[in-house]
Amino acid sequence: MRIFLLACVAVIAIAAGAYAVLEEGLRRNAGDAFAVKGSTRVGDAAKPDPRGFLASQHQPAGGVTSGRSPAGGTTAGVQSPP
Amino acid sequence: MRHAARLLPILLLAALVLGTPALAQQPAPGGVGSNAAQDRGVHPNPSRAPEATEQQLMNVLRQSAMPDGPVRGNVYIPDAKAAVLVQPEGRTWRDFRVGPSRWTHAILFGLAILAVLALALLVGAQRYTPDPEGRRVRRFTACDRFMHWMTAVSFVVLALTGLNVVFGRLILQPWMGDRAFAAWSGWALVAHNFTGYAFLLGILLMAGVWMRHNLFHRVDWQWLRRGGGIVSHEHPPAEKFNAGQKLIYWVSILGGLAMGVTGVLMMIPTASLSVNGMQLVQSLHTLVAAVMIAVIIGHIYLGVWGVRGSFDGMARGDVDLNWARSHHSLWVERLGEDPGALARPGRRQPAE
Repeated sequence: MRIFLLACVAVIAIAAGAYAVLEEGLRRNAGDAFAVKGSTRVGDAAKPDPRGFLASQHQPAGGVTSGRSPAGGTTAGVQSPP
Repeated sequence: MRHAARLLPILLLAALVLGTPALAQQPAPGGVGSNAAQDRGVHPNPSRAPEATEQQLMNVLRQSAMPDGPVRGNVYIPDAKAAVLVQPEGRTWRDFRVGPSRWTHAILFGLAILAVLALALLVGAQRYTPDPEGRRVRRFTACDRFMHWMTAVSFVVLALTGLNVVFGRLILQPWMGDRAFAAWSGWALVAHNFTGYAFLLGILLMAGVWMRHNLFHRVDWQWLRRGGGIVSHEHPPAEKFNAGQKLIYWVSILGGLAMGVTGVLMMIPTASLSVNGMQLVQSLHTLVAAVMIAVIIGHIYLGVWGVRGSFDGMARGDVDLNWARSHHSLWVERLGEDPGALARPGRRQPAE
């Protein structure tokens, strides 16, 4: 009976330990899967905003061809993502 | 003409998806999102600009037959799987989860429970006559019992929380209600994911410690041919573990390793698996689980009730000498050369 209880405690301890050690990593891994950081298709040239937002999130019309927004990168009057 | 009508929505979908911008650019509430930017014609790669709005896409998806082939686009985030908009295998996977998967579980569990009931009601438990001097023999060390119980406890947690995925919506949700079921499922998922490491550790320990006792020999085939004497109440010769126990051992080890590998893969979304690969891994995970649970139902019955005196090995570490001679005669013969293996007479109470 003592060994059974010890095994129960061990299971809880291992699960809690795994949670403490791996949860952050797994959460980050899941987050990385959807993160702009690490993107392979969008380089810095496509992010004229110093905070790293894509040109598509700026108001000016027209495609980005040179790494700067065709309208000079202004974000006046546009509420960008935080 | 029919082909053209069928092709039209697919082309529309493809045109939209091929131009879908970074899905990672989540719009802030009330802020500027990718939709607004697209509406203004702004796109990091104009050649991939969408040719339809998301509303058009949703309308097509609602009104059209789903395409037979996959529809993929471009995403700028690391998870390339996010570029898959329509994956026909996903429908097969969904149908499998709500159909064959549930039926496979139900049939296997039903067969296991029927077999146990048949053994209990028609054949009865295998009893034994305790050694008159109360002599007992050590069967499992504390370490053996610890790793067995650790594996067993974690397996029960995993089985209950895993079955929630298979039957939860069918059985629990109508009874618990949506909110309680959602909360329970969230906690069950966390418990499942992290208890899995204790189970995997137990499986690895059992694989290392007990493997040499679980290799098959000629005597095991004889044991199997005689059905283990379960029905006839005979006692075919057996080593420390009989052939039935060895089969359970290998199902547990191989199945447990398969569960561990597939389980860890499912926890890592950036693993190098395609969407279809993730679905196959999940299907394998659940089918192996069904087999293991059915086998363990039989194992629990035989260990606790069907073979009287057997449970002592795991509960106390030693078993009655007569029980050991009856069920594991070859093992006791070998132990006869090791007097230390015999517990002192009268130290323990007889099992019955």
